[in-house]
Parts: sequence; structure tokens; C-alpha cells
Amino acid sequence: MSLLEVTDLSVVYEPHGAEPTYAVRNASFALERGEFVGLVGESGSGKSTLGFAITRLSKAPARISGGCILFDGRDIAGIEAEELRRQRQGGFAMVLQSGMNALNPVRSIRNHFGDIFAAHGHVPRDKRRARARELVEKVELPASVLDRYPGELSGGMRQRVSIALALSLEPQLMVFDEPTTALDVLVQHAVMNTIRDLQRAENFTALLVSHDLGVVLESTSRVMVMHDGEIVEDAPAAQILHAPQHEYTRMLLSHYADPRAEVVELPGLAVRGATIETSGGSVAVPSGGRAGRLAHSAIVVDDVTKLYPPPRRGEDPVTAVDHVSFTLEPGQAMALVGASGSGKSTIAKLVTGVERPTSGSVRFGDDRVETLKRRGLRDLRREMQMVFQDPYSALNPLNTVEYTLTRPVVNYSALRGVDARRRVLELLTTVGLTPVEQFAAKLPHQLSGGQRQRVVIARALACDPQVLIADEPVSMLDVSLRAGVLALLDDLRVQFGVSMLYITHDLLSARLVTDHIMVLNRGRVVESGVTAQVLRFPKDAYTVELLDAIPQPARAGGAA
Amino acid sequence: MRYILRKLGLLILTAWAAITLNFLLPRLMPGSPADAALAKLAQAGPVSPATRAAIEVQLGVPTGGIGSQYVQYLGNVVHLDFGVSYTFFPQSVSSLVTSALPWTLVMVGLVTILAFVIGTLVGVLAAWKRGTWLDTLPTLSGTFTSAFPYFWTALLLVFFLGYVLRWFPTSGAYGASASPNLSGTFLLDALYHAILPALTILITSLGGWILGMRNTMINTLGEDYVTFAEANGLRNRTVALRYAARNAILPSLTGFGLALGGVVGGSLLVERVFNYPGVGYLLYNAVTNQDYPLMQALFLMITISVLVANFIVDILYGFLDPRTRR
Amino acid sequence: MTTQAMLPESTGSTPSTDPATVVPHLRGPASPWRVLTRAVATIWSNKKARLGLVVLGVFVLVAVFAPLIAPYGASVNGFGRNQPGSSAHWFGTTAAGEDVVSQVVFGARVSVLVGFIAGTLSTLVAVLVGLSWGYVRGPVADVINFIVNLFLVIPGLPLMIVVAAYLRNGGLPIIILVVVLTGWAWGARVLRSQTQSLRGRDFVTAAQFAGEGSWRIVFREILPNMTSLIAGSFFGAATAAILAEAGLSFLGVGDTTTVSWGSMLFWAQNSNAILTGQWVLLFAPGLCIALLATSLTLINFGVDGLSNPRLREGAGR
Repeated sequence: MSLLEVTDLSVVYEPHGAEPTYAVRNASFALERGEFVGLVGESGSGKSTLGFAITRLSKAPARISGGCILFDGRDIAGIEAEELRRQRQGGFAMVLQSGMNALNPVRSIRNHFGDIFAAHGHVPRDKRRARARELVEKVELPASVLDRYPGELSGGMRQRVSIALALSLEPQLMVFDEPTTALDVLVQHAVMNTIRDLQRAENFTALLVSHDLGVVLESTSRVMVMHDGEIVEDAPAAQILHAPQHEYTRMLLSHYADPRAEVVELPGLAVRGATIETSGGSVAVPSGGRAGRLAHSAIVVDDVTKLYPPPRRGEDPVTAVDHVSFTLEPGQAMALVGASGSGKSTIAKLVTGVERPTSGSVRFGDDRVETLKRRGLRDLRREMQMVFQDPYSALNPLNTVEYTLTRPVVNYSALRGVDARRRVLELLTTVGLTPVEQFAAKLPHQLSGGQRQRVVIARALACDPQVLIADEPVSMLDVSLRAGVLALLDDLRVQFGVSMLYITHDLLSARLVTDHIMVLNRGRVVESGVTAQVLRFPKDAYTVELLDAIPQPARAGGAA
Repeated sequence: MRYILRKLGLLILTAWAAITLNFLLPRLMPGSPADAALAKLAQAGPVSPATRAAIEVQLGVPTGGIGSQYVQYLGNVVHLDFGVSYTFFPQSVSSLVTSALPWTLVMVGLVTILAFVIGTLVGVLAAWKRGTWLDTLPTLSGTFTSAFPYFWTALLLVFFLGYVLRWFPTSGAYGASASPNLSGTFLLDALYHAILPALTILITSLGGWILGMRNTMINTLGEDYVTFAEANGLRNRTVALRYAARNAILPSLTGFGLALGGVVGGSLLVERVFNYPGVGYLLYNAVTNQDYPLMQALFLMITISVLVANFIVDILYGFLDPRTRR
Repeated sequence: MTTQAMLPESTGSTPSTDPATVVPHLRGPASPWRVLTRAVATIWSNKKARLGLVVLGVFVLVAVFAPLIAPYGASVNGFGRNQPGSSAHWFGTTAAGEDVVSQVVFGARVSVLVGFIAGTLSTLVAVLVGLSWGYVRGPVADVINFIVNLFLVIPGLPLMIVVAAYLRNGGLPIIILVVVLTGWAWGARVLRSQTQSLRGRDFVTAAQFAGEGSWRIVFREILPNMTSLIAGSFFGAATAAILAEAGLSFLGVGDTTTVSWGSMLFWAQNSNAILTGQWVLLFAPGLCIALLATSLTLINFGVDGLSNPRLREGAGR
């Protein structure tokens, strides 16, 4: 008998005063004892809803509208609250997406364990201290965390604590809902390793819910692919990787590549060989676009250091950027890569004049960026524009696309009225948002994430800048949308002849759209050079570590 | 410890600002409050030079250096020397304030704490049982009663429970024949007299606490740590109290500190209706008789009391939230 | 055009643009009138708020048409004193021989006026202080922080009483001034924290990169995203103003000859209406204050949707 058998499960969302929508439709699957299964899908696919439903955590407005969930031979879809509560010990546990907020900020970690032991009484009173200690050690934390409060722990530590708490229930089934999404790349990798090791050691059944097919393929032995509320494919990991049946699975897979490979290719993105040299020239201008003015000023960052005041009194100041020097030649595309806290975003702020360096200088053409005042900054920004990370926060929800694009045109050029509007429509054509008249009138919430990011790019190009600073422009987008936005960015850069500083933690995208790369660790440049060269033959240990943290679908079936 | 010191520093700074405001207020007003006060005082009896000087410093005279007045004023405040009342001549202002303050502090203070505690508990229950009658009933009636003017609630209670049903006394803090002492009989009598004013404050302020707590509690119920606690099979009581309510109480407590001024203001009106011998009633008398020295001193005392209460709330907050301890 | 088709009752009141022209409408969508109808429609869609709007509407109508509705003038005092309810005087007469119904009707004028003016002025101050406070950084922000906190903790009513006592018989303008002086701080604090959170959003940085000036960023990018909070602090401030005016009038520190619900209660208390058994005299003005204040609180349940673009456009469907 399977541990979990789900038949025809449907979950409906019934928001107040709106039409109900089905987030999960007739899902059927089984989990065998000791199996590690992945559940993959993009945002809105219903994967998390399904994860919540099988652990009976669905809350209004979500409701299980039909089907049955047999856990260990018993239907848990309809059992009442107190019975369900007791089932959770020795039954099914859940680790939530945002481990950051899964812990009660006013209770110590020890009390969190104490609450669980008290609720189920499965650990005798005199053994509780020892058991809590043993559990945190299992997730590779020192016993001293037990006396800390959640606010005193890092994100990775908190997520480990919540894994230990779920483990303290001694569950037969553990559901991990995007357990590493909110964490930094290297931490993600380490936490996933812990989860894999634990699953093997404790031999519980595990369901890993994730948007990242790479992570899932690397960890699990069987993968279910979800799309639009339905499970479209359910097969062993190796089969998903080598012989995917459903077209959606194939599409997802096509967006994975190894940045270390000789040739890296994604759908719609040009092949980039190992020896591509910097090319600053413009290419043919497509209809609707216009000849760009070639970039002619270099950004020269010279021995720049940035210190931030200490977070608490009596501590040392934080060194965000530590003696960094580089030059971004006109027309060049350079990647700044590193984990969070490596100083890459601070460099972007220093280059754009948002922050001033503690020492060293930033030059753009003849300007000393760090000395610019209000007027000078405005002139600088005519030449230097940003593409933001989060397309949901980068557009004012109350302004139409047309208004958003008109403002830089009006502020930075002599175009007014009908001419300005013509320019706006031209920009929309350039970023592929057609029919332009229709998109011009839309508000951000009427656009998809990818479309929003195109508007953000169009806005950055509106004043015909020389330099684009792109800060993780695709990290918030679904995998299937990333290639399109990256391709657009790359095409436009070449076509308009602008230079680009591309900031990312994602080495694959860096490989695809840049010629040069700088790897940052704790504010220092540890390695730099031609992108393909550095990624294929990394010299620094930190670069290797970053590369190793990338999930490799090719390692599929690792848990089998 | 650092937190407490910081809050203490803030308290002193705010108190200083309030004292200064009190100093400036009569000086900013058109006409000359000091002259008016001295004229009134002269009607009541002979004015000694010392009294005259005290009033001039307190209310401001058109001539004289404002700097030296300010220094002298601060000195007077520290010594609680606010001059002489001419409504209750020749009693000193500070003795009047001292005899009125306990009544207000005990009655209003206790009821306010009681209302906050009851309101918070009802709010927790309403949010936990969201959508049921346990939610709808207190929420709706709370919305309505919190819009009541304090004095109107007081008038209604006086009329129905006092005059029509004759259940409770309608005036004063103790029976006409009694004199304040600490005997059991007197305390019982005082309690009996305090019921209606207390009930007024309770009814009128309860709604605000219920609504405030319910709303923050509904927010914390949506937090991940509550979902995770449920996923771990904690008992309902634990989830509701130690996880959701325990966190919801923090913003609620901040709200309590800030709303305190409003409750104190409202209770002044209540004292007027019941002729309750606290600072509110005294302030009313001072205002109607244009007894400026008394008025100024009372305003200062009320403000300082609210500031101190806020400080206590801040300390309590620091005690309840481990994040402030770092 | 599609945007117009979605709007309720806007065709008659606004000149519609010719759908055939492609002239750009750069300055954004709406005339003030259309914004107002849309706001009312959004609030109307909430059940509690709808009730509040109806009650408020009734009070506003009564206030505006008071001379037509009231059977007698507010201060006409030729009638018998302390009379019980009769067909000529439904609620009886006061100790000074005035008709109670007429006084209640005319009293609505003062409360509605005070609520509207003091609410508007407090909100205006709150918006100016809150937005600039949220947008600036450094020592200036700390100073404003201290001042706002001071105004928050200083008990408002005693301050009002003291100020009003100095400015004896200043009448309504003085009361409004005092209410505004003590009532803006709460709104400023709420708007400030929202401004801070919005200014951290990328679209504000993006506006800087688009070459916008500070004023335009604050008032064109940030402000419209706070419509619901501003409406919320308006209704909150108006409620507080109405209650404060009533309290001051009840104490007799305002102008006691103005007929308002508060001063009616002042005279009722002073003439011992309780002893004469005229409970209507106590009951009616207070109930009106409570109902008016409740209606504003209820409307506040519906303003949440005002800043949400989804609800904005969905309101007319």
C-alpha cells in the first residue's frame, strides 16, 4: 500500500465577491514509502496549493472541493480538526517557502520545540532537552541556537530550524514547499544538501515542491510536472530528463543549460561560443526602431571602497565594496556576479551616483560621478539607465504604460505631444509589445511579468542612453519567460550600441548576454576576464563554488 | 537596558517639551491672561507680592525678560509651586491638584486597564472565531459604541440607572456624610459611587480596543508562523494565544499608549457629568471660572501623567518583544 | 472608448473625447468629478460603507436644507418652557422655550460643517507633513518625528479646553482651529510610514532615473498610491473633530449661544433636564452625534479599495 494516495483532488479558490477559480483540477497520484518525489511548475500552476491541500493546510478562500486523500490507508480529506491535529505527529509535516517568517519572533527556538512536544506528548518530559539538541544537530546547527530568538538567526539558519521542527514530529511524509527559494545561492545549495542527506538517513517520504526543475531533478527520483492546475506528467527523473513526454516539460527543460559548456544555447538566444570577442558595433536596424547613437564614454571605476556604518554600536563598519577597479568600455557588456552581500548591487549604486564611494573614484566620460549634484545626476541619468529586478515594483501600479514611457521622453528630449507619443509607440514596438496602441493604454496589473519587464526595458531605452545597468533583470520571472527577456536585452544592446553592466547571481544568464565577467566575493573582485573563459575554466575557488551551486539536471536521480 | 535608557531619555525630552509648551501657551494668547488672573485674584482677597510674582512667571507679563521668566518657571515646576487658586482661594494650586489626582488616577487608570484587557481578549476571540456571531456581535456593537461621545454615555447612564432605576448614586465620589479615610465602609462607598463613571468609560472605550485587537490579530493569523504552528499540530489554544495573540498584542500595545490621551480627555468629560472630584472636574471648574493658574497646572499634570503612562507601556513593550532587547 | 464604457454615470457629466482622434491623453485619465464618482462607486460596493454613506447623506441633506425641514427657527424661544412632546413640538421644548426638533435639525449644520472643514484641514496638514517627512532623510526627519510624537501623546482634549478657555467665546472658527491643531498628527504618522515604504519601491527610483523632480515624484507617483489612506485619515479626523466639538460645546468653552448638538446637551445638563424627565433632550442630540460618527467609521471600511487599480476599474461593471 502506498503511503499517500490522492485521487481526483480538486481545490477551488472562492474569493469574496469574485468568480471561483480552480487552482488544482482532478489531481491523482501516489507516493510510496521512502520515496523522494518532486512537484514542479511555474507560478500559478497550483503546485503549492496542492502541497497545502495534501497536508490539510488549505485556508479560506481555498477549499478542497472534491476527491480523496488516503494517508496510510485513511481518508484525511474530511476528518475533523482535533483528529487531524493528532495525525500530524507521526503523520505528515510541512516546511514552508519562507522559512524567514515561519518562526514566531517572540518565542525562543527551544520554546518552539517545547510547544510541539507539549502538543503531542510523544517525547517524555525529561528527554525533551536532549531531543531538541539532537534535532538541531541533525540540521547541522550548533545547540546554542536553542536559546536564540528567530530574529537573531540568518535566513538559512531559520530554514534549518523549521526543518528540524518539522522533523521533531517524526513524520512519515515531509512536504517541502520551495524550501530554498528565499535564500542566497550558496545557502540554497547547502540547505538542499541537508534535506537530501536527511531524507536518506531518516528514510521519510518526501515531496519537494519547486519552480526549479533543475533542483528537483538533482534531488528526487520521480518528478510530477504541474501546469495550469493539472499534473501533466509523472515519471522517473531520468525519464523526465531524457525522454520528456509532455510538451510543457520539454519547454521547461529547454531553459536549462550548463554555463560551463563549450556552447550554451537557450530558445531564442544566440549561440555563444567560447571565443567571442567584444563587439561594440551596431547591426541592422529593424523596422520601427531607429539608429542608435553609439556609446562613446567608458565607465572607469578606480580603486573604489564603500563602507556602511555598523549595524550596531561598537561594531566595525561594514565593507560593502573593497578596493574594486574596472573599466566598462563603450559598447561592452560586463557581468558582475556573486552571492548576496558580495557588493554587486552596491557597485551599481556607486556607478549610478545613488551612493557615494568612501574612497576611490567613478568616472563616466569626463564626469566624476561621486561629485555630481542634483543637476549633474540628472544629466548622468540621461546617459545611464537602469533595468530593475522586480517588474512588479518597478512600475507605478496607477500609471498607464503610455504615461510611464512618456515621462523620460518629455524630460530628456525636445519631443512633445504627438511626437512624444510617436516615440512611445516606437519604443513599444522595439520591445515587442504589439499591438502598440493597446499596450500603451494598459495598467501594469493587466500585464504579465514578462510584459512588465519589457516595459521597464523600454523605459530605460526611452532617453537613448549610452549605458544600461541591469540589476538581476530576470530573476523574478518564470523560467520560461527569462530567455525572451534576455534575448531582447541582448538584441537591443547590440542594436542601440549601448554598454551594459549586468548584475546577477545567475551564471547561466551572465554567460548568455555578456562578454566580460567579474566575480565578486565580500566586496572584492576574485576573478575577472572574458565570460566564457572564466566560466569554463574558473581559477578561483569561490567561482568554482558558485558554479557547483547551480543545480544540474544531468545529475538526475541522485536520490534514487 | 539600553532600550530603557533610551525611552527614559525620550520621556524627559518630551516632558520638557510639554512643560515648555505650557509656559508658552498663555504667552501666545491674545490679551493678557496674567493681568486677568491678577484682577480676579484681587477680587478674592489681598495679593501678596510673592503670589503676584508666581502668577506673573506662570502666565507671563507683557514686560520682563522671557529668558529669566522661563528659568524661574522651570524652578517653580520642579518645586510643584503653581501659585494660588482664586476659585478656591486661598488654597494653593498644588494642594488642589494633589487632592484631585488620586481619584482620577485610581478610577480612570484602573478602568482603562480593565477596558484594554477585556477589549483585547474579546478582540482575540472575535478574530479567532471570525465570521461567527462571536465576531459580528462585538465588532458591530463596538463600532457603534466607540462613536458615542463620552459625556453622552454618562448622561444616559445617569438618567436610566441613576434617576429612573435608582440603582447607583449619580454624583460625587462618596456619600455626602462621609469623609475620606481608608476604612472598609468608606472604600465600599467609594466603589459604589465609582461604578457609573467607570461603566461609562468602559462602554465607550471598549469598542476601540476590540476593533484594534481584532484587526491586528487577523493580520497575525495570516502570518507564516501561525500556518507553520498549525502544520506542526500545536493545540488551538497555543496557536491562538502564544502565536497569534502574543504577536498581535505588540502593535495593540503601541496603539494603547497613543490612544491613552483620548481616553483621559474623554474621562474629564465623564467627571464633569458625575461631579466626580478628580482632575477633570477641577479642570472644568477652573475653565468656567477662568482660574488660569489652576488650569495651567492641571493641564501639565494630565500631560505628564499620560507621558509617564506611555513610558510604562514602552517598557512593557520592550519586555514583551525580544527584538528590542538587542 | 473602453475606459469610459466602464465608468458609472460619467457620460452626462464629462465631455467625452471623440473616439476617432488619436490625440494623446498624456496627463493621465481623470477629471475631478470622474475621480469622485469612481471613489463613491468603490466605497458603495462595500456593504457597511454603503450604510455609512446613506446615513451621512441624510445628515448632510438635513444640514443643507435645515431651514426648510425645521418647523421653527433654531433660537425662536417664544414657546412654553420644559414642555413634553406634543403635536406642535414633537420632542417638546427646552428650558429656554425653544423647539427641540428644530434645534436638532439646525445642530446638524455645526457638526457636519466642523467635521468637513476640520477633517479637510487636518488631512491637508497630515498629507503635507506626512509626505515630506517620509521623503526626506536625516536630522530633519528626526526633528519632525519628535514633534509629531509630542502631538500624538499630549492629550488632545485638555489642550483644546485650555486653548479654548483662553480664547473665550471665539466661536466655531476657533474650535475648528484648535481641533486641527491637535488632530493632524495621527494622519501624518500613518501617511509617513506609507510614504517611506513606497519610496523604497523601485518605481520611485525609476522615476528619478526618468528625470522627474522631487515634487513630481511625491505628488504624482507616491501620493495617488495613498488615496485610501488619505481618505481614511480624512474620515478619522472628521470623526474626531465632530466628537471634540461636541465635547467642548458640552463643557461650555465654545460659544454657548450657537445651536449645536454639544451645546444642546450643555443647556440640558445645566437646566437639569434629567430632573424634569425630559430624556429626549438628552437622548436626541447625543444619538445624532453617535450616528454621524458611526457613519464615518462605517465609510472607512470601504475606502481600502480606493488605491487598488483593480477595484478602481472594476467598480463600474
